[in-house]
Amino acid sequence: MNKYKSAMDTICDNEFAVTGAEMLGIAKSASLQGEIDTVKGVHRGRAAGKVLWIAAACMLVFGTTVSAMGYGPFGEGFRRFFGNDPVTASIIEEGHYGQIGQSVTDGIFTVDFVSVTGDAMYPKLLFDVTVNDEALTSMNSRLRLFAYVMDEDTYRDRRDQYVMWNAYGQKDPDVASLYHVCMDGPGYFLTKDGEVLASIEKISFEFPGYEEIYEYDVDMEYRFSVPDSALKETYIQYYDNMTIPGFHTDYDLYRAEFGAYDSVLVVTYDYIGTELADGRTDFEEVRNLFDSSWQDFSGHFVLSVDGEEYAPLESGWSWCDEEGTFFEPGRCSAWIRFPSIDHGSAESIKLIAGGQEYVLKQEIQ
Amino acid sequence: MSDEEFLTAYGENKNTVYSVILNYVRNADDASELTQDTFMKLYGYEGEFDSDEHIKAWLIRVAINGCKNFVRSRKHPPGSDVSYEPFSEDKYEFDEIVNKVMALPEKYRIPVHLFYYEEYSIPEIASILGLSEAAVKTRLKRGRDKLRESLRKEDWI
Repeated sequence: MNKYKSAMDTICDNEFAVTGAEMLGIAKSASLQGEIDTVKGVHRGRAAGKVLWIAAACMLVFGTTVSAMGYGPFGEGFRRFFGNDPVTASIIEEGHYGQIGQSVTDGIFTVDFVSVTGDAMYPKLLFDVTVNDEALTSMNSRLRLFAYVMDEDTYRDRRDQYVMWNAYGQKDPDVASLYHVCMDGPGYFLTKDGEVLASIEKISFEFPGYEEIYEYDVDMEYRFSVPDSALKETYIQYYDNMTIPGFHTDYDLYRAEFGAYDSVLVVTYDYIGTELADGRTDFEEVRNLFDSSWQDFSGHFVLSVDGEEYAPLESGWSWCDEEGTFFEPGRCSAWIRFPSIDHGSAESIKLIAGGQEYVLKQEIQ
Repeated sequence: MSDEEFLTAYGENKNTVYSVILNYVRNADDASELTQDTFMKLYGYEGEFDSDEHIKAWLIRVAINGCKNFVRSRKHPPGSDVSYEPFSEDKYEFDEIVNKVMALPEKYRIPVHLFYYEEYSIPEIASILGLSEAAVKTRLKRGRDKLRESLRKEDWI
């Protein structure tokens, strides 16, 4: 046995000590819970938290009849496809959608950018993808679309600092070459004034058994402005004097946003100089420690709305604002999601964290 | 797959899956989670396997695809490598070979890992990674060259 194999085996045995019986139990449990279903295209998260936007993800209805291209009359067609997503369906019924109607083709793929809908926190971009290659569509493959969505300047100068948004498509039940894609997009760029660029750069096909992934580089750009009222408004509140003492650092509540899909609180914190950082100044070296600390701490938060209590849905990873675009330079932020609430009609909204109550909204009687 | 077959496959391939994922994501906790995900997929897989080697190759491909998806989902700048915190040599009494391999760029370290750990041939690595044999040869050579630059002679693989 070579030195490398021997050393690596030592690491494997020490770092991954799950027994066969334990693994079998995990697999059985996951199988029962349907957690290995990857149709949603998200990675199953452990308690440490992943960016799972399941609640906000568009859900498709199978077996419905839709027009061959596009969604037909928008409201009706959209509801047929997305009828089991009550939140988005409700948003549509309220009239929050905007048709884009741009089409780009490169021969193999024709991608129609159909419309924008959702709310200001979780905009949805709807695409129809026609695949002009029978070999790709004849098998039961899953199509996945990858796109940058940002303003032109950011795309030109800093797109390498962002990851592409991506979403799986669903085959149209009536047209074999047609896939419908509902992609979440960035609220930040889609609610700013001015033109937005959606640049589809990759289309992949994943074949059954997870073994094969074919990736196609494409270059399809759509420049558009989000139509007025296409996105349902959210309620945003900024805070500048609300500090929540955590296990290893103090968290300043920075922002709360209450939308149709969920409620998100954003906190900021310093890591440099803390005991947990232990003198380290490169956040990448301590990210996991601070994420774990935030997960442990925020997992017990409660959102109280007129006395009704909501447990958190998910806590998110940290990122740091090195350039001070949003916070003080070098300050990091983390977030936590709660269920959607009716902010407008709520008289009292409180965050209960670390045994303390923090008033987020209080109507004066 | 029966429970017995699953347990056998797990016992024979646990380190194979964990090590290739660890090489890809370079973080022990993430590797642990992705390894569990890979074996959960095996448990739920309804296809047939011709041999133990087939299971092993399937697991490696699924593991690598899972890593790719994981890196994408983690808001990691596309096209760049995941950060790496070397294993402490205080914790493991081994020479520095693992840390040196893990410090290689991804496109070199995965072929190097499969070549030295799994002892796969160049055509087998090409098949698993979806690369041409020429590309695998080039990446192996460059990876080995980089290791030679950084390893002491007595620590060579």
